[in-house]
Amino acid sequence: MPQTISEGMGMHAWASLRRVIIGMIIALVLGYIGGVLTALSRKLNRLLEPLLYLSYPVPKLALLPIVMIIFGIGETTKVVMIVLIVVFQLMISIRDAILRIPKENFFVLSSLGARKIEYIRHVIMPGILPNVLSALRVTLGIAISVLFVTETFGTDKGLGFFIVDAWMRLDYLKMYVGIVTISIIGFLLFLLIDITDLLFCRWSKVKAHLAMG
Amino acid sequence: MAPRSLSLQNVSFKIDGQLILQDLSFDLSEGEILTVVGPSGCGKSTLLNIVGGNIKDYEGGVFFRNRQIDTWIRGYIPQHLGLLPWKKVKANIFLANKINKNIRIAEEEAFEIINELSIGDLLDRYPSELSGGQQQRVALARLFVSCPDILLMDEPFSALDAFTADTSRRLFLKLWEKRKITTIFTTHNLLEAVMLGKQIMIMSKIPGKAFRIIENPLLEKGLERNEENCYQMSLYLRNLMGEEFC
Repeated sequence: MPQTISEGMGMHAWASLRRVIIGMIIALVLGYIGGVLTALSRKLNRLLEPLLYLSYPVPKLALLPIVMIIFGIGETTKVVMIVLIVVFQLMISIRDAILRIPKENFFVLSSLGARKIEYIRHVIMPGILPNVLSALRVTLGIAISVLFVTETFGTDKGLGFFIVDAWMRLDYLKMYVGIVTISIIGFLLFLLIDITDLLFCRWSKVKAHLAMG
Repeated sequence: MAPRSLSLQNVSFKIDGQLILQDLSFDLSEGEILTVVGPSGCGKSTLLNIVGGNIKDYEGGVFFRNRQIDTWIRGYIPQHLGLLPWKKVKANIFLANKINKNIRIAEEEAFEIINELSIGDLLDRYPSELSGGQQQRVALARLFVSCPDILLMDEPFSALDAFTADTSRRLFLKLWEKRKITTIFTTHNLLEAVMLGKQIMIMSKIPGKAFRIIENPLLEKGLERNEENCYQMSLYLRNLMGEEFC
């Protein structure tokens, strides 16, 4: 790649990658906490479910102006937008995955005198990992799309800015380089999820392969 | 007479206003097996879940050696065994030791149990890679390695074919005879109830309405627990259940 085209690409790619990773980590932590709490407490679930279902269909990208007013036009807004959009999907996936774990798995532990933290460590965390990774695959694509839109405002770093800037200057070669780079980032993050899946969820693969014969 | 060790006093339980168990009281002596028979939905699993600590909002009292039941280690095998599919066989077997630091078993003894059940070469596999009979043996190993004070077994052999169930039952009895742990064992197989139980509790199909505990007629009459006698006694039990409960 000629140097003029790739110039500054590393900085833009890093800015985008950093925003996606920070946004996804925050969303995962919040989604996890919310999912576990709503799955374990029927009262809390009854309280939060209507809020969750009412806010779920709201197109979160339409909230961009409001988020900008609250958080300014800097880094925070971009991360907040990613979190806002993926956190609900993660939370619902995690809650449903916990509720699908057979009760018997919890019963075996409770008769041995387990505490709640041990249910989380030995049953919930490993049991829902395949579902969490599936939810991450779906939400990652969405997060990158959101990132692209938010990077077209109020920043001079990131691949969203890079692509639109090149497009406006009719520098199509640079624009395509930007598009390919953002795609590669998405691909690498997907790969990371697949590797995690391969390392920690072999048990679920064994089951699937046996079922397929 | 052996001292009464497990005691249920006027235990009642309702779900959404529907009665599942009503005024259930019985005493089970130390080191004995109580088999519980009755049709599906009669409250057998509920009884185990109350003693096992999975149901806490019941009325009445459950005591073991005159102390609240919650303070004791209860080894529980549910109907579908409850092996954790994400843990390998070895981790499943030693799960109790990770959860409760009071549970200590000498490694030698644990591996003696594992060898007795012939699952030594399966330790590095996941439960989904095992046959039904092998999973059953892993569940038995986990049960005995947890050094429980009470055993709670919820139709543990019902999902197995007759031959495998028979082998599993013999293995269970062999391990149990060495330890004589107070046990509640539910089943809908009358033959199994007669083979294993010192006492047999019959529950009616009307939830929680009636129950009756009888001494195993085989033992009462001093008969040997061979197949022929067990079969005859299971027929006797069936007639008894037919008259009173079904």
